[in-house]
Amino acid sequence: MHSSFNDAHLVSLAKAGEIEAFGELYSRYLDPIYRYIRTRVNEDQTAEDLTEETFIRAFKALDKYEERGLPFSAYLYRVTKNLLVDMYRKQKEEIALDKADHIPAPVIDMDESLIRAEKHSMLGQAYKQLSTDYQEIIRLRIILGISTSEAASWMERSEGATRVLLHRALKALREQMMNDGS
Amino acid sequence: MEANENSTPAEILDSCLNQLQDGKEVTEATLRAFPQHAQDLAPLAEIARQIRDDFPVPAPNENFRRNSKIRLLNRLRAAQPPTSAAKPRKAKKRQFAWLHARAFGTIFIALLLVISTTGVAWAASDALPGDTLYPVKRGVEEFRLGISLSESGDAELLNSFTSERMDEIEALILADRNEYLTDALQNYEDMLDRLVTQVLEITQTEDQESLDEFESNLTHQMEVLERMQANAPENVQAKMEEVREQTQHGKAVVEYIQQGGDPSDLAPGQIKKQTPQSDSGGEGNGSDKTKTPKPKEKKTPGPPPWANPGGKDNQDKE
Repeated sequence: MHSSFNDAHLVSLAKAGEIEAFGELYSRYLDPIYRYIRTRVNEDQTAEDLTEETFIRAFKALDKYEERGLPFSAYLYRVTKNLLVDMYRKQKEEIALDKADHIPAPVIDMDESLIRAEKHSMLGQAYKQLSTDYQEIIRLRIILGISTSEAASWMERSEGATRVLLHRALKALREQMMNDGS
Repeated sequence: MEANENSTPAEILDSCLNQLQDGKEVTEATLRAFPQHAQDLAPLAEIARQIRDDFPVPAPNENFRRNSKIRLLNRLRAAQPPTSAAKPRKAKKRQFAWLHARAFGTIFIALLLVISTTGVAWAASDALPGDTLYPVKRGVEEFRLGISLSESGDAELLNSFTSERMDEIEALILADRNEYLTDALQNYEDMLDRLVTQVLEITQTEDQESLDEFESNLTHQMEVLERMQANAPENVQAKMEEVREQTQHGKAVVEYIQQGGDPSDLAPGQIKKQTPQSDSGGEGNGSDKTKTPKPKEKKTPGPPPWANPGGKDNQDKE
C-alpha cells in the first residue's frame, strides 16, 4: 500500500508514528545512501552499519524535517554527511579515491594494462588535490550518477550553479592531472 | 536538460554526462554540434567517462538488502515510546445508541470473533520478549509450523523464525531492555537447534536453493552476533559466546549437508554442539573437532575488489 505514496505523504505518516511508512522510504533510498557512504568508507560492513545508522538518525530527527521544496533524499544526504563527519572525528579514516581498487577490464596486453594503471593512479592523485566541493560534485554526478537536479538539492545550490561547479571541477581535475604528469 | 546552440559550456557538459549515464558514448560527433566548445569539452567528457569506468561503486549486497529493513524497523519499534503509535479514540456519539445497541452488540461480537485472532496476531508480530503479546507471537509461529505441509516448508519457516529471534535480540540491546536478553538468546538458540534438525530432514529433497539460503542466513547471523557482542552487557557475554559458537556449528552442519555430506554420518550429539567441558576452547580443541562436521570444501567468496584495497586486509584477518 505504501509503495504508491509519494515521499511527502510517507514522511507525514512516519512522523505520526507509522513505522512501515518509514520502511518504504528506507526501501526507496537504501541504494543511493549506501552507495554514497560506500564511496566514503573502506569496507562493506562499515557502509552497512552507517547506512542503518543514517536511517535511524533520520527517523529520530524526522520532526525537524520540513519539506519546503527540499526532497527527502536531500534530508537523508545531510544526515549522512553529519554522521560521516562524526565518524571521521572518531576514526580519522576515509578512503581516498586513489586507494580504491578498480575492477580491471579484461587485459589484452601488458602495455595497455600498465597505461590503465598509471592513468588510474594519476586520476586518483589529481582528485585528491581538488577542493571538497569539487570532489563532492564529481562523486555525486559522475561516480554515483545522481541527476543534476538531485545533486543540486543535496548540495543546496541551484541547478545552474551545480552545472557550473561540475564544469569547473572537471577542468580543475584535468589541469591537476596535466600538472602531475609534467 | 537538452543542450542547444545557445547553451553554456557547463550546460553542454551536463548534457554529455546525462548521455554517459544513459549508457551512450559521448563521441566527437556529439560535440561537433557545438564547435565553439568541442575542443575544451571533449577531454572533460573523456575524464568523466574514465572516472565512471574506473571507480564503480558496489550496490548493497542481497543479504543486507533483505535483512536490514526488518532489522531497522524492529530497532525503530523498540526505540519508539509505546504510546506514540496509539491514536486517541474519539468519543462515540451516544445518540440513537439505545436503538441500535442490541444490533451493534451482536455485530460487534461476531466481528470481534472473526478479526480478533488476526488482529491480535498482527499486533503481536512486533512484540519482543517481555511484551504482553510476545506469547501470542510465538503461538502464531507454532501454528504456522503446524499447518506447514512439507519438511522444506518447515525448514523455511524455522529459518525465518531464527532471523526473527536474532532481530529481537538486537532490538532488546538497542532498547536497553537487558533483563530479557538471556531469554531472547535462549530462544534464538532453541530455534536454531530446530532449524538444524530440520535441515537434516530436508536433504532427501536435495533442496539446494534452500540450503544456500540457510547458509547465507546463518553467515549473516554470525556477523550480527559478532557486532552485537561489542554492545551487549557484561552479564550476557558468556551466553552470547555460547550462541555464537552454536551458530557457527549450525552453519558448519548446513555447509556439510550443502556440500554433499551424508546426514547419517552425523551422530545425534553432533546436531547440537555441546558446550565445551573445559575452558580451553577455540581451534584445535579436540572435542570441537569431533562435534562440528568439517565441510569437504569451504566456500570463501572474497569481497568485491573495490571493497578491499590491496586485497590484503581481509586476508590478514582470516
